[in-house]
Amino acid sequence: MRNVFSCFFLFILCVYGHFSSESGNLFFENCLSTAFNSPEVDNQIESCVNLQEKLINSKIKMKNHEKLCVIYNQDKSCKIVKKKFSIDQFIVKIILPECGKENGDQQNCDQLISSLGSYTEFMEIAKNLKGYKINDTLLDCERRTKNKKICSYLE
Amino acid sequence: MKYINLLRSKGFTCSYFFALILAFLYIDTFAPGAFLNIHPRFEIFNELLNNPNPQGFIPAIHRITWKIILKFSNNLSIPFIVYSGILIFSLHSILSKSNKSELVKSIGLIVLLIIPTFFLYTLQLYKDVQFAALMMLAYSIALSRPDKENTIFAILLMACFYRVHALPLNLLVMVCLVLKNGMSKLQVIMRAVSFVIFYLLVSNALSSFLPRDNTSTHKTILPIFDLNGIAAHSEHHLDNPFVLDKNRNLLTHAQNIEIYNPKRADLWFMQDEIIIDVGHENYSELRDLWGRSILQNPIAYLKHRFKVATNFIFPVESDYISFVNHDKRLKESSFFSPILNWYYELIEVDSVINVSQKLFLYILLMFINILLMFILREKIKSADIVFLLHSVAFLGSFFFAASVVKFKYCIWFVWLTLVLFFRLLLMVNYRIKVK
Repeated sequence: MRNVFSCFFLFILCVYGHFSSESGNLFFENCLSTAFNSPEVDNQIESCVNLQEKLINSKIKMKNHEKLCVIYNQDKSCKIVKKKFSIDQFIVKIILPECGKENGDQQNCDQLISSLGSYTEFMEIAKNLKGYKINDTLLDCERRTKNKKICSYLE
Repeated sequence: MKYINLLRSKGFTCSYFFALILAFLYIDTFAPGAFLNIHPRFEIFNELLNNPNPQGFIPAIHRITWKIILKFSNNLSIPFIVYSGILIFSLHSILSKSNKSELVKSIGLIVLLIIPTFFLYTLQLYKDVQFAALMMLAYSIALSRPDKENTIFAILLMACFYRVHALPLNLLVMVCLVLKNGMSKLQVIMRAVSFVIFYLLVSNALSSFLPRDNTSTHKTILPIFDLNGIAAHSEHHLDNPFVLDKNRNLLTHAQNIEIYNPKRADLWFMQDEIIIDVGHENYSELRDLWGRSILQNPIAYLKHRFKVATNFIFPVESDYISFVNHDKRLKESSFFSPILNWYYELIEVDSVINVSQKLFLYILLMFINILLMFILREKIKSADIVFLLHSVAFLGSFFFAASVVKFKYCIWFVWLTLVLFFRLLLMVNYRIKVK
């Protein structure tokens, strides 16, 4: 009896969660760096409004280690980039420009860095890039990141 | 009074209603959890898109539940609600099987939930966390069943949670379940064989309902990692035709040492420097080479495995858990947020996260559990033994199969150990008899 009641209670909570929380769509609010192969979506700038629908309808097929990055700008526009990113390329091509801008959006920068959460060692490197200026020398980069390979992408 | 008694007879205790309120407040404060990390999104997206190319290493039961949940709603709050609800009710159910007062059980539930490894990981939408929550549910159901049914239930459970490949891991548990005093050798063998067949049937039947994994990546990660580890620890050079440098030449001994990282099995992340040339067509050759290399270089293999295990048991750094969105939500929420905000900052400031993520602490606790179980041998149920054995078997298999050093992979072992400890603690009779 108690278990039946618990299941019912959870069901009610799910209905409540479905209708009351918009946070579920946070999934699409930040830059995604996941592995997808998307024949239909290729280096184009799209409005984000129907992105979720578009992605579902297109039945994007995943292929390992190809990454689709959806970059959201402050004006709600977004950029879909399909690239064979490696994590360190992701740091330099996506994170560094955001975190190294003169008036960069610190919150966005932090979110990008935290998206590396599963890769602790890379996240430490990305953290060190905070405050890095685009015009800094290669030596500055190496000093901060202690990683020559990542800095070599700057050349 | 009559109605209260009726409710009690149906299992509606005070601590149950407390768990109900706690579940509502917890879920309302934290939904949809923290999911800024790449992997959870990767997995959810995969299921959301009905991808014909699923990741083979995700347990069947996990993928089935994702599919069912996402059929009804794409809102990520729903999986969070389902899994945290299951966890809280299961914890309550496990703790309630003691003769302590309702107040003590309720306090036990709170204490368990605020232990940093519980508190921080319940908020993550990791497959490992959800797997751990389902394991708690299984434990609570097993405890509430008569002991005779536990055996079959445990086999069903293992078949659902693991794929066929995990059969060796579960053999230890099965053998322990099968053995009983007074059984003849023939009976033991017959029972063991029938359990193995039953296990294979259930796990294969489950797999056949799910889309097949068309990639070979998940199967090749471990052999490639071990071959690299053996080559890095061997004194002489080992040829590995499946990993090549950018010019498609075999890696030298020095290159093998350079790319070797005992914390990270996935060499695909080094795809700028190396080429991994393996697929379905040459997987069996890779497997043969793997087996041969282990047999020919046992010392190098054990050195490599020991290094990986040491990194798991005594990690230098903890998993990073992202709370960026979660922080924002906490500020917006009302009831729980001030207390939880304070607690979150406290555990982060004091580096409790780092301390609580040392696996050796839980291995020690596991030994304490074994001792407590021996002391309380009259009171414990066979389900307790099954789940303890399961965690021991898991640890043993980890030595040979562990790949990426992440605390989250051990989270169900950690939770199971903690819950078992609390359950045993609530069974101890603290009253000292005065003669």
